[in-house]
Amino acid sequence: MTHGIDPLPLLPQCKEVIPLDSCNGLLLCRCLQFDGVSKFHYAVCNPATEEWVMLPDANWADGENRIACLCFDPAISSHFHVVEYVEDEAERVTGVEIYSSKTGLWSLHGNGWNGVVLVSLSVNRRSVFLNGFLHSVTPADEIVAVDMEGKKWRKIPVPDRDNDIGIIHQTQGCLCAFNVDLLDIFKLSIWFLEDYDTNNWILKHTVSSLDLFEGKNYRLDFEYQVIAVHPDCNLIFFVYGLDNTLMAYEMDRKEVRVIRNLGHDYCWPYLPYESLPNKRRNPAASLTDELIVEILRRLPIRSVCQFKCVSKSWSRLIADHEHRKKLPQTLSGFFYESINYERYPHRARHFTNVTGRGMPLVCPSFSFPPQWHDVDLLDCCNGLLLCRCYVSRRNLAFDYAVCNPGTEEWVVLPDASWGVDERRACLCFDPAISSHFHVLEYVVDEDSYITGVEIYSSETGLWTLHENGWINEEVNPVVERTSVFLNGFLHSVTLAAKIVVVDMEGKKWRRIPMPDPDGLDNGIIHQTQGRLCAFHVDPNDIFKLSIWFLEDYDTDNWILKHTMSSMKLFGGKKYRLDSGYQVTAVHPECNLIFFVYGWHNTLMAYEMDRKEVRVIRKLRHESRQPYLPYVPMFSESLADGR
Amino acid sequence: MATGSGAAAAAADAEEKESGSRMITLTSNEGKAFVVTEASARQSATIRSMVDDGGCVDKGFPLPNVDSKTLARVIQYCDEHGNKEAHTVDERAALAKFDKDFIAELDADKAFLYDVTMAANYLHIQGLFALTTQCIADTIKGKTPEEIRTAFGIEYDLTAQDEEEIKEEDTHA
Repeated sequence: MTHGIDPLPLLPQCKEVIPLDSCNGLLLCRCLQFDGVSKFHYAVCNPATEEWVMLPDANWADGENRIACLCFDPAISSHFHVVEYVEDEAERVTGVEIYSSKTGLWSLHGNGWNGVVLVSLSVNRRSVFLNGFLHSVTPADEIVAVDMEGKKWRKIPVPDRDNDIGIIHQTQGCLCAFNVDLLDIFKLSIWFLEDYDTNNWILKHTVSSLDLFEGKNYRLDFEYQVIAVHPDCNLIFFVYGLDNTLMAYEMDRKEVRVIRNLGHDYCWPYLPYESLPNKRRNPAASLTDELIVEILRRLPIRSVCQFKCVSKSWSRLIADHEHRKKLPQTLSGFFYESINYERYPHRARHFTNVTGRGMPLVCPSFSFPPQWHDVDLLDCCNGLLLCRCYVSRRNLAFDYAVCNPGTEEWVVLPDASWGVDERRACLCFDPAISSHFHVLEYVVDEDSYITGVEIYSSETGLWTLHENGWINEEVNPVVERTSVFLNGFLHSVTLAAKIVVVDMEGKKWRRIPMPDPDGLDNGIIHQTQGRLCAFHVDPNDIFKLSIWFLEDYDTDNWILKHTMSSMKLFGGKKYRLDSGYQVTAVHPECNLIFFVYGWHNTLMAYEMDRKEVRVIRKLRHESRQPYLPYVPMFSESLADGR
Repeated sequence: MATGSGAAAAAADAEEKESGSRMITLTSNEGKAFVVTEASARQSATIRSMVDDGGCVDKGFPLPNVDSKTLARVIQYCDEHGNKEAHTVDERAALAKFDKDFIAELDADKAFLYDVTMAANYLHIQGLFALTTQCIADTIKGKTPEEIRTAFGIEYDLTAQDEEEIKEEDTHA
């Protein structure tokens, strides 16, 4: 069982806090001070909002613990009152002292009830604030009522004077009274004041302690107490027995339900607490972590990252491993391989988080597919990974496999009609378009010119050969360059500094010239923020790199976005693209470029807008291309048509 | 123990389920009873599984986590989606229109929206849950962390160092 509220850590430091009364969401406490044994202040707090106020001192003498009641009804006023009964030495009530939170003042009002009034000092007799009046039971079997102005004074007779006057509570806007039958002291009667103005009590219900407490003869006040009636229904709450068992009795159905044992050492008062209606409590605060994750997963990744700064709990929530799987995904790291002939096996697969720190988000050993010992990582696209799995390196027999490292699902593709030659293969997958993926192979002739493409569709489970549709031109893709799957098309750079584009049906063929087709190099392409971007070595300065964005996909309109020098990037070193460093990826959501450079294959990031460089980590000398950027996908299942 | 008569009864039961004509009583935490068609109640995966498990259909289902006001609104959604067909384009458009109006009304009372969201989660009403969480997500999209704190009543408890670390991570994630 969870607690709705903390036990008052909100109050300022006091020696002791004694809860006195609760009323419609507020709590009245007596706070004993450190200085002086019996000096105290009243504090009123709202446990739900953790707001509190200290009341100013009244003119009472030290140590005189009067009966104090809290009077608050948000339906009447947003202000509360505290009423103290003022007594003389003979414990006769001489008046009331009323504090108003509106004026911030205490005011004394002389006893307006005609005749002598005693107020029972027993703390287990609760007072009831109802209809703007405070009601208290006196030992003389009367209910005395006073309004918050100290102007209207009233007496209400108890329902059955001959019998032991019990206790008053309220429910459903009605005063209710409990007393025991003198003829059967184990019987409890429950009365409702049906008509407030005419003092008309109605006997609503009687119940025997035998029915309430499993056949036990318990007496009110001795072995059990009535602590509250539910404000909205005929549900009575009792505390009984040695363990102070809290239980509820449903009057209409005559059903008893034990709530819990409060423990032997609990004592009075048990104050019913009803949190204030919505306009005061903040219902959003009651949303569970699970629900917040459900809301966050519907937001763009940038918003989610930003909201880590909301609070510690949100930050933890978003960083949580299991939650992160549900939240929108972004670049989380890179797959890569290493070869080292001083160890066995020589080849190993690795994954580095994009932060360079912590346990790798996914396990790169792929222990999940059976007998995948000899695997080359080829391509990675929106959460899926394309691998070449060798049956035998000697005769180069292999299978293609596509796997989702996030869910550890995998499929092995059927053999195509190819020979043993290793063609360039690319993975094409976009969960926003389809849950199916494609694998595309460039088919080349002896002179390394493309004669067509062979496309595998996971929907049909078949390979289909399509003849080269890039008319007239002999094209040859640059093998070690990344291809980009975007807008349903696969893009690859050719040796003629052109981008060849084909759709997954093999029907639409297109060429996009690189931004600098006559430059020193063929260029490299990547994608970011839904656009193609291209990198070229600056023709005037081979240590400089220029970055272009394809602003308009339909008109081949490239815009020079940025240039940067290798001196700036690599701590004053003159490195050249390809020989000294590689462009590994561009962040899918922002202008962050990832490089790998130097002897140690250091992974680093360059923030284009702020022109800041940051080293992520050394991937070690034995690591090798490709460094495949990985955006995880935990939700979709791997769809394969076969 | 599938006896002949038992199987017949099960078949009759299944038929009745099929037609969705059976009535089911849902009781709010205030004890108020709401009688709905089974088709409507089956919008809730929680109730659906209780009904299918042969739960206490006759006694009704007490929902101790849902108050009357919220339950009434949830039932309004379930009635629309459970009792109406969505086969034709027009029917689907009518439902979409209902959803749009339904959520627009809720959106005007955020506190109530949260209550309905929690009830939809508790009752596993997928469509309603998607509708309300999306609505909340749309509201907080583009808000600053400060605005989120205000909207959700969250206390700011991050140290400058915490924020620095989060921002540093952010440039990489």
